[in-house]
Amino acid sequence: MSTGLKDVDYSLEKIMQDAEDFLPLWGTDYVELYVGNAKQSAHYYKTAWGF
Amino acid sequence: MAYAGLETGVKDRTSYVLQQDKIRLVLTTPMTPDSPINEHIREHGDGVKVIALWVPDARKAWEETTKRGAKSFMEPIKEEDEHGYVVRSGIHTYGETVHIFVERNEYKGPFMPGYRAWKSHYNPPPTGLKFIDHMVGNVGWGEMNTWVDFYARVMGFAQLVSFDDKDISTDYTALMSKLMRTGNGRLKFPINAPAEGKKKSQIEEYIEFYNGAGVQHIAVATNNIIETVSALKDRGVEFLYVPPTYYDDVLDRVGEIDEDLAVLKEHGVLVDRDDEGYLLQLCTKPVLDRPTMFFEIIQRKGAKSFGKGNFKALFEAIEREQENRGTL
Repeated sequence: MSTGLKDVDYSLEKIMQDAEDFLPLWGTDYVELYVGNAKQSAHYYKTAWGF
Repeated sequence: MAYAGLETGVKDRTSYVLQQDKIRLVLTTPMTPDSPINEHIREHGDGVKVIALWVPDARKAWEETTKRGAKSFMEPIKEEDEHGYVVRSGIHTYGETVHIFVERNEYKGPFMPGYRAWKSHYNPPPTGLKFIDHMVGNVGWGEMNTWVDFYARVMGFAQLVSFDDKDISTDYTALMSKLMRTGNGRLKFPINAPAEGKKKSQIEEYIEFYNGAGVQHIAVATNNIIETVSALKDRGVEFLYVPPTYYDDVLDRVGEIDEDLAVLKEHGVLVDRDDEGYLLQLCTKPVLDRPTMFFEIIQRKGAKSFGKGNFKALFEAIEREQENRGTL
């Protein structure tokens, strides 16, 4: 009993016709957080989140 | 994965770069009292400063966006080391958040010039997080159109869908949400703004504690939400509580799904369906002391929407937390 639905992944193909690809944008490169103690935050994201 | 600090000749800050599959997090802290990073932390607490976007040409991205009205944060700069070069440029978005355009086609090093590889003997296993599905910004009263217009006009995004206060309200609070997306769907930035309600909405609570607009949550995708959420819980990540009554009629709403409902209920995973399929999602409690930023775990089985059918259940869950904090 499966719905046969696949996980969604995105290619570079244009799916939103209203969008104007003058840049273009290929995806998220990184996210940077400003934090009070980077060493301890890094330990949290490694331990709890598996980064 | 990479590190910059005193040992690499950087005196005013320390940055750690962490990676899980396609998700890269950079954690930066100030090292001197006069660093502007202190001011950001004083105002906002810990939070997202940079949403960096991967582009083929960072100089062109800066020129095109500033020409269309974006406020410059950083003029294009080319940095190189023995691994090649990276070009970066930046513009401002909502609040004190910025977008940095990163051009790295000609770079083979660990992250970018100025960083060195960071090896550790301590490497806990990954939790199945694959990529950033979307990042949501909270903006203040009356700012919605400004930022929707910014992403459309300056960044070339299209508006996917819009929810007003009638769509997203509980008995007590309301908010508005507009979903902006690039042509290729790789970047999805929903924007939330407060709406009139009987009590203080989660958006107002965020704006109050963050002292302005900023990133509300980062939604990370997994291919197995049950395994991911179990692993995260075992390691201490706290999730919003979903009342068992949510599951009473969930299959009537979403129809057939691959997952065992009892297991979804055990972990409090929410389900929603759209024309193309369904999705599974769950939000953490704020990961900071200030009730500001949190994470969402999402698994998409065909669905490309954002779980509109779950908004009410999610917001009621957040209201219970607000009640405990005395901020409702």
